[in-house]
Amino acid sequence: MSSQLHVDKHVSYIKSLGENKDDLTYHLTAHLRMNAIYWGLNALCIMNHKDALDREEIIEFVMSCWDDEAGGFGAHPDHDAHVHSTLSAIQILVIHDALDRVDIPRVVKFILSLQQPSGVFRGDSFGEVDTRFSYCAVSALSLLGHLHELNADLTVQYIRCCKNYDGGFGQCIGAESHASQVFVCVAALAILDRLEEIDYETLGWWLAERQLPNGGLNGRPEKLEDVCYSFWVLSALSILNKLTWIDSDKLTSFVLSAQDPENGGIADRPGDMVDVFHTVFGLAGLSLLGYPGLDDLDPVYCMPASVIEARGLRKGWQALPRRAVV
Amino acid sequence: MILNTTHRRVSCYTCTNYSNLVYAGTKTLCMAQSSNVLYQLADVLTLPLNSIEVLPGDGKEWQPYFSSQGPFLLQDGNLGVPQKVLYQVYLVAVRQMTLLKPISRLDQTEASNFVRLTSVVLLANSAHQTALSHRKSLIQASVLNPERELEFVGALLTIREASKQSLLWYYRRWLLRCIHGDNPSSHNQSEDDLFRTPLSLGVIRKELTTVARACEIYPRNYYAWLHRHHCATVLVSSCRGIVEGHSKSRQVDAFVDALLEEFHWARQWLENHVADYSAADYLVKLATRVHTTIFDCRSSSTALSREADSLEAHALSLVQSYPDHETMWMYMRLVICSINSRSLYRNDIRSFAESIISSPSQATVNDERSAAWNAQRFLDWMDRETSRPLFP
Repeated sequence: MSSQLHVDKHVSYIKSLGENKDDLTYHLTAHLRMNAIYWGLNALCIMNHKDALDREEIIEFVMSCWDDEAGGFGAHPDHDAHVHSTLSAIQILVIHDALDRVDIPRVVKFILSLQQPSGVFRGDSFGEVDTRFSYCAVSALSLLGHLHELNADLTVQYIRCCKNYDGGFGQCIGAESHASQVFVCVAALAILDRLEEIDYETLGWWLAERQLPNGGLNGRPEKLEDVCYSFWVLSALSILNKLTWIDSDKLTSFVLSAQDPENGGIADRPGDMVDVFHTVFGLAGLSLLGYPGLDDLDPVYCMPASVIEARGLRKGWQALPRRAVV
Repeated sequence: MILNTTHRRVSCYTCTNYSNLVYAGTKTLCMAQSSNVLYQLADVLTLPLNSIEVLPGDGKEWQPYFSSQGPFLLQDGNLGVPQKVLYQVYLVAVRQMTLLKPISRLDQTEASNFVRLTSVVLLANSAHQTALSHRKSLIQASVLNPERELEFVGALLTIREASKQSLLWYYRRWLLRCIHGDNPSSHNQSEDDLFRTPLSLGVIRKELTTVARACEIYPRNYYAWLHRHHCATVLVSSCRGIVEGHSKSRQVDAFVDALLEEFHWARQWLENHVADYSAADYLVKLATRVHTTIFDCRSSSTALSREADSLEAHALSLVQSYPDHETMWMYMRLVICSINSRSLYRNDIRSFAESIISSPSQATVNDERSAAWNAQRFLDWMDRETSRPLFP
């Protein structure tokens, strides 16, 4: 059982991810590649090892996913543009200060075209709608400096309709509250400066109740704990300024126990196989909890806090103070 | 190329798209064989199938039972495909799919080929958004029949990992709008809902069965429950006789009976799946919708209101039977807050919770600690709620 964070192992793990391009796994996850690169890069930033992956190679890959017909980014070359992969692409380019490579007006047009009459966003031309896509759109437009072009009232109106009695939010109107949907709705409202839509107390308690006796967090009542909720739940709590409502020592121990101390990476729970998704969100959670040696993370954008501050986008969230020692 | 063989299951729906990693073992098929098997598999996927299962391993142990149609099991419409065979043909299919011209420029043979390639891609990877987009374009180009496609999607939804892919459920609603929408461009409707789509009772029942099966295959199936919610919306609207084509009173009676059946089904499901909070959420939202809907016929209105009002007693009895399950306490909270319930049972639930905390062995369940934990959280919640000015 680990009681420390194996930063060097995690850095090596992330560096090794793109190596086996012949792996079946590599092909089966092509539809998530852009997201995976953002997850890996963000994890490295949190660990203060941003340069462990080659900057030019990453930027080249991002640009190879440009879908010129749609005006957005796909997850992989030859994959259709989607708002989620477009956000990941923008996040990567902002972290690497390479936004000048993007045809910003076209991307803005693509994103705005995805909004439906009800205010929700579709992901792409296929048409699936989800409050996740509302967040992707709001965050992307904000990072591109074009948030003012969005119909904010319409966007907020839809999110408001997704609020359940427990203060939480679902994928769409009538859907069950889920921690990841709570994050996207709360963060979108934070970017739009519309946090008054939220019942802070009720939602704060619902989020706090995601913590199980073993310290881990789940995403819905009576589900198993999972490291990724260290981000979804904690980020929402930090935006609501209620991060102290979680037992941070127990959660920290839980996340550390899900590491692979030999090969690096973090899994969803102890004993399972690691992957980059749980690695980045485990690290993100630890950063918000003030774990020593990590860089500050902006929970609204899930990106390095310094990058967001430099763009003048910081909102009023509160993380736990960074400890000097474990 | 020899790799380790591992298979991992994840319960987190958010990360499963990425985390469900499967590693192939020793090469089972050479390239030419892969191509051949690809088309054999694609042909089988055009047949009506009751279920599909991806079998672990390379299929050696299944060889004596392979179908004459290819290296997979096929019996009475139940298809079993060895995992390593599937993933090898997947690599071929994905490669060939990217080489094809845009759908608008395909001739008939090429279009048929596109159908076959995308069906195999989706069998192995139901989250492949681009493949699904291609299928949608093929429907719009009248190359694929939407009713057959609904059957294909239904078969895919019997695969564990596929059963919780949001894209498939969304696609299912799009197909229903295509087939049953009351105007030709219904499939262009931008909102993802069904309440403007006049689905017959038979069609609704089929959807509810598909959802139930998916929820058995993958418990707490978020997107399956959401699909059920969409279907219930049509059911409730149809009881009002406001959906075009359903205004005759005999049809309305049939829908009311079906809605009453749906209440019974949902209550029973919750009794049989005591950790399924999604079911509680669904049931209470159904009751809320009934309470906020004005039905034309008074007797329907009375029968449905009675169903909705019975949930508080139902919740209390379930909490008392299963206090170690957080779901039951949350069900009670939902009922107290969402439905316009009389406060007949508030004192009962409070006394029960207090008794569990003071003497956990009274819970007569295996997990006394969980029962006490749940009871304490419930009381804390109740104290917070009763101090709010608008508490009913």
